Amino acid sequence: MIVINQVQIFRKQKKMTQEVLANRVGVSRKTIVSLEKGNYTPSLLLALQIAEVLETDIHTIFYLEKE
Amino acid sequence: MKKIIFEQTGNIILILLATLAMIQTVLTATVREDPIFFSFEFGIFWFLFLGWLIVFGIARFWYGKKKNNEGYSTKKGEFSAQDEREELISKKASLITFKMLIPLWIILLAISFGLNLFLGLFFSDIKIFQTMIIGILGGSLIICYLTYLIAWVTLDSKD
Repeated sequence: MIVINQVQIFRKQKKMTQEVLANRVGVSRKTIVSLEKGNYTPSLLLALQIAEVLETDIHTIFYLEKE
Repeated sequence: MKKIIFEQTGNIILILLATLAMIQTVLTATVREDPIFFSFEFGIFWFLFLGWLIVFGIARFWYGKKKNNEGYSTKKGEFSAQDEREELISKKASLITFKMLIPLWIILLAISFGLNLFLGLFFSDIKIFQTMIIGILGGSLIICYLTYLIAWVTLDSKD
C-alpha cells in the first residue's frame, strides 16, 4: 500500500504557491515539493495541518492505494 | 543542505588540524627517564587549530542567530532540522554513518592489533607508530563526518 496525495491539485485550486503553503504549515518549500512528487509521506500531524490549510478533509487529499 | 555542509566542513577542518597538531607534538616530543625530562614543540598546527576553533565558533554562533538559516541550531549542529523531513534525513544519515563506522573500527582494531603484535618488525622508531595511531583515530573521525555529510546531501537531493 502506498499513500497517494492530491496536495498539488488542491493547492493550485486555492491559488497558493508552494512557498505560502510551506510557511502556513511550518515546513520548508522543499518538503512540499517532495511531498507533491510523492517522494515523501508526511506525518499524520503534517497531513492534518495541510488538510486544514487547504480547507478540505484529510481523506480527500491523502488516501491509500495498492502498489 | 547549506547548514550541514557548513557544519561538517568546519568539523572536518577542526579534526584535521587537531590531528596534525597532535602528530607534530608527538614527533617533536622528547622524554627522558633519568633524570626525568620532558619537552615538546607547540607547533604551527596548534595555532592554526586554536585560530580555526575561534573562527568556526564565532561563525557557528553567527549562523545560529542569522535569519533564514534553514533551521540551523548552534546546539544541535549537524542534527539541526527545519522540519520533519529533515529530521528523518538526519536519522537516516546517522544510521548510514553508524553502519559504516562499525566495520571500519573493526578493521582498524585488527590493524592496531597487528601493528602492536609485530611492532618491532614494522617500526624501528616508536614515534612512527604513535603518529599512525593518532592518524588512524583522526582519520576515522573525518571519515565519519564525511559519510554523514554525503549521506545527508544525497538523501536530501533524492527527495
